[in-house]
Amino acid sequence: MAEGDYQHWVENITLLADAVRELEPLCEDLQVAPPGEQPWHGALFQHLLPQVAREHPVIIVAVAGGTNTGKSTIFNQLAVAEVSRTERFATKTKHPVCVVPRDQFEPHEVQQLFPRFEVRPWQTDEDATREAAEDLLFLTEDRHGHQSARLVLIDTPDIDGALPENWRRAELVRSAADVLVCALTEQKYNDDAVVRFFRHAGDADKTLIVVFNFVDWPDDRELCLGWLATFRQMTGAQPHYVYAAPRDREAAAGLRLPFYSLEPTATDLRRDLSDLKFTEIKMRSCRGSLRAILDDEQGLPRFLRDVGTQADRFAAARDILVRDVCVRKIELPRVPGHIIWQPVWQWLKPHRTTFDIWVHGFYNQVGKVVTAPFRASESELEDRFRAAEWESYHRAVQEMVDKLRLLRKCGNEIIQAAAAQVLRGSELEELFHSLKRAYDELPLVSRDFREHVDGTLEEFSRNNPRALKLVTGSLLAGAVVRPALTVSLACIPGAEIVAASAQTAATQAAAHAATHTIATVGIDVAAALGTNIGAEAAGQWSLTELLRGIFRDFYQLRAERLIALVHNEMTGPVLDRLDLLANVASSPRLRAAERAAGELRGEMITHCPL
Amino acid sequence: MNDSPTQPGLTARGPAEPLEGEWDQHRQLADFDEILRRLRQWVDAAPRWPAFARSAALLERVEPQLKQVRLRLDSVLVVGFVGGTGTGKSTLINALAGEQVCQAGKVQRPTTLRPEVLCNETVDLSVLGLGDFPVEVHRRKLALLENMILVDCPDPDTQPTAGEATANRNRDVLRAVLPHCDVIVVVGSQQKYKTEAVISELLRHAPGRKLVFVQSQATRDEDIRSDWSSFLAARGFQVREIYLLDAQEALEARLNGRPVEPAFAGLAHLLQVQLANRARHRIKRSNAFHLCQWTFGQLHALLDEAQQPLGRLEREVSSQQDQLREKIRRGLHDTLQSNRYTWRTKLLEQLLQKWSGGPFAGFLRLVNALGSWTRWALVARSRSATELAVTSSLAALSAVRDKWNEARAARVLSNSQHLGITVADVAQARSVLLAYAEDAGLDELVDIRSGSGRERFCEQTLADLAGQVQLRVDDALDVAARQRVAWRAGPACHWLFELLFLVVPVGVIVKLGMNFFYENLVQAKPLLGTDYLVHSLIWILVAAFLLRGALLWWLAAGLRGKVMQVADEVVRGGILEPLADDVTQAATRVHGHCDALWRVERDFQRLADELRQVEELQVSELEPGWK
Repeated sequence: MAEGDYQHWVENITLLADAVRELEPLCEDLQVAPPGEQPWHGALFQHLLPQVAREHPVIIVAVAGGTNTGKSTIFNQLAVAEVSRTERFATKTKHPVCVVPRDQFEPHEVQQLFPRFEVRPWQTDEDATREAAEDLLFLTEDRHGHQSARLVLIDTPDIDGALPENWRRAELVRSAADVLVCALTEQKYNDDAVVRFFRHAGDADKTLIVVFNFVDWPDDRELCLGWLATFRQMTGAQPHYVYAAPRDREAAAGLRLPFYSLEPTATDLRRDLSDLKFTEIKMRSCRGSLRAILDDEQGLPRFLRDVGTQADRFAAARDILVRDVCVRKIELPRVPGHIIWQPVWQWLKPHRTTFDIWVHGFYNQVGKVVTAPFRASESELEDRFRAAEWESYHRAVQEMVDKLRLLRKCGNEIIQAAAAQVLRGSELEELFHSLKRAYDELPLVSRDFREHVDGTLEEFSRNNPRALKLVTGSLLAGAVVRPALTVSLACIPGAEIVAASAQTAATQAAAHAATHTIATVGIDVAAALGTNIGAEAAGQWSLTELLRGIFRDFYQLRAERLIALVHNEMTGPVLDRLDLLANVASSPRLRAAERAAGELRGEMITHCPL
Repeated sequence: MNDSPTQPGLTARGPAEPLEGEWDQHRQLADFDEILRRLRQWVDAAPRWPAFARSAALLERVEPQLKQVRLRLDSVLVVGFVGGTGTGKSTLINALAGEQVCQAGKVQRPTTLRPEVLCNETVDLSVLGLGDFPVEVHRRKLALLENMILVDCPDPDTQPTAGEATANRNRDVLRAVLPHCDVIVVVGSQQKYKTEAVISELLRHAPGRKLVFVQSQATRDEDIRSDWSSFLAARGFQVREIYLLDAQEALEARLNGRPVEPAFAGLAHLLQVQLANRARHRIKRSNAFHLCQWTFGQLHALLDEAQQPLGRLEREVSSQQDQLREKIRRGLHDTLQSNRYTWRTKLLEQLLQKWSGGPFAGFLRLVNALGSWTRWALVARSRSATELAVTSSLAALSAVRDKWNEARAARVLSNSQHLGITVADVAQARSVLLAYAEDAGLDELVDIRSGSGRERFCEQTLADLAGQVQLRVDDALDVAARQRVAWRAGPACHWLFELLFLVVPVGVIVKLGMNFFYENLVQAKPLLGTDYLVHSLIWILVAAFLLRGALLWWLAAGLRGKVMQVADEVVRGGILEPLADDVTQAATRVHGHCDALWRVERDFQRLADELRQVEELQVSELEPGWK
């Protein structure tokens, strides 16, 4: 295979691995089965990735089987050293022991070959039985120098005992291996767990070497062949070599346990192992792994499809929530006029003369003081407005909570989970409190509204300069008339009333205020009429339209703000999470991975890698 | 192993038991049946709560077995043999029987494909309850089988090779057969004593069965009993003894008439003599009780866990009520602070009731009725038309305002806005409580209204609350006013104020009298004119009003604190119950039903304690508290 093609192939594999790494943490949220337990995952991450990067490929030979089937015994025979302790109690071997050829490997290279294990130097044969929660791997070198330079031997924990961590470690080693030595016995050649384990190995095209242990040799020779036939049938695998080993504790302790061959091709286990055709085996196992990875039904493409489907479901759930549940409309109570008038007067200020600002300001103050007992103050009005608005707001939020409650009962699981996230007792209380806090911090007149008013009025004055002049003119006229009125009232016939009793100063002030109020109202009415007429003369936009528009905009902006608040505090996090998961389907890595998988499948059909 | 005469009947063929023993046995069984009946009743009467549904499912599973006790009490002991493939179950049975009955060997695995039953010629197998399940039956006339049936079960860790009917997968077969066994003999070998498949099946079927553990390939394997024992103990088994023997050798010995090894003899003796002959009834009864105890243990775990959210709910109810209470209290404080008219009115009312007679009291009544006098005085003082117009309009205005204030004060507490909480607060509290209730699984028992139903409920609750509070505050203020008046405005006070009131008028009258009778008639000074009268009248009025002010001050001093106390007391009472009534009721129902179950359990425990007799047997079992 050409160098460039090989590089491209490695790139594709890396793309696949990157995509899986990105998607793996989201699997639980997406409700997709985690890929870590699937065979293709092991084939990709334990077998292909660690080994494709190597300059000089190696063959990994692993010894596997059920508890107390004599795996460690066989392993010690192969390594020609007591590296793995053989115990009479089951599930004792908990961590794999790895034997590498002398002076060929650095520890970090072995670490690269077995990425999920923590490589430690081997010290005694009890290392493998150590109780530890981490996945350890004990490394030692072949002390006799017989081991072939490209052969790596590794022992495994059991696959059917009562300790699930052992199975997991055994499966990781199986995924990484190219050749498996199957330790079978008359009791454990057809067990569920054993058969399942070796079936996966066979599906991935690993080379299998079967050893029947604890055999009564030579009496049971025919029986072994029968068991072999059953094993072939149940696992669908074709073992390369088959041996039988007798029950001989002394020979095992002396490292000279005989392996009798059961097939003409096999001779002696150790020799056959060294004579293995590396290239052929390597190609077979890589092709097997690749096939397992690219399998449409069980492999990576299926995983990517599942992820895509789930992401779409999350997108649908998010749409339902946004469309049906989220608050869209809030009925606001009537806003006190002064809130809206205030920005308008503010904008108008630069266009008025100082004189009329003063005069009108003075009279307004007096009027306020006098009518104070009869009118609610501005802050009271604002408070009332806020209270009524909060009621209405709260009602809209409650309706949303009702809808969520309904969805929690009847929606699909995704919606149910999303609704439950908001509706859990402690969560709900917290959400209400934070909503109230955020609401209280919201100013009545926001900066947005002020800017909006300024903008609208600017535009209006630009389009209708005469209307503006009319308004300022009438204000000025009023400013002149009012003081005149005061003076005249003080000077005409009621003067003797005024002069007569000094005690009635209060009544005098009251009388003034009364007449002034009437007069001012009259002036204001006149001014309004004037502006109306003037505005109609101006043509396009009447002032009343303008003012009505400003009121409308206030309601709209305010409602938008409130809705945004609900979204931030209550539904935001939920919707954001749904968004995140829904967007997985369109993530570029996913697309790249699908493309890479397609290319690899095409290449696999035409020619093999390596 | 001596049986005392009061022990219940132990052998089927032994001499007739003393009558009391039989009566005891029947009574115990009757009591046991009663417990079962009560359990069933309890399940049927359970409110709709998820944990109760799960309890019902559990009971469904175990009830058939529990009911079989009486039926099968007299029947033979059923001993099942369970273990991984190739451990030697069939060989062991053959050894016990003394001949090759079941197929055994290592030619193919699994060897045992269907359950194989070894029994007497006369035994009726319908008692086994297997119905038309395919089994291989071997009938032999053996001493071993007098009171015992041996069942060789399929292995839980293998499937039959492809070609056999896959409908009868081994594990399903095992699960159909094991429930009918009274004793399970667990057979292991050095390779297969820690297999997950076997231990999980064992855990599933162990409750209600006695267990015997055997390691059966002693010649070839090493002794692994200590590890097996600790492994089993870690999984919750109480292991008495593990027999170490070699089934193959025992079989050969028996076939050739040789004596068997002691371990095998011990096992045979245990099964045949101790269990089947002597303790058959005891074992079956003990099994039933064991299963019942295990069931209660499961129900405990289930219900305890499910009751935790209920505890949280109850805490939350009181927390929400406290929050609302606090808000109401603050609101009441503010309202009462800013409405002195309420208490002043009440004080005056009470006072006037108490001080029925006397000129001062009469004056107070007049003032009450007419409102503020000064304004009318002002009206009387005005000289010109304008002044009259202005002063009278002002007077009218302020009189109206007074009336309005009074009316407002009266309305104040009935208007729920001044209660300090709003519909929103009530709705929020309810929402949170309902969320907790749903978490606790009470959504079937509580009417969770939504939409306008919820609105109406919240408004109704608030209105009721406001009404209640108003009534209570009214009452409390009345009582406070009465107390205060009684304390501070007693007869002595009344007399004092009357006297003070009369000082000025009496002085004026004396002066007038003096003036008229003495100065005028005797000294011929001029009479004091109406001016003097009017002035003195004004002074009398001024003095009277001052006195009135002083009286009110005297009465009202420090009343504010009392009023705040009133508000606190009102709030502390049970006014917020309607908010969470339905939820707390539902929770109480659930708790009550759980307590009913524990009562049944206590009665059962009493019964079980009477039956602690099986310790003498060398058998193992699963600890009842274990899951």
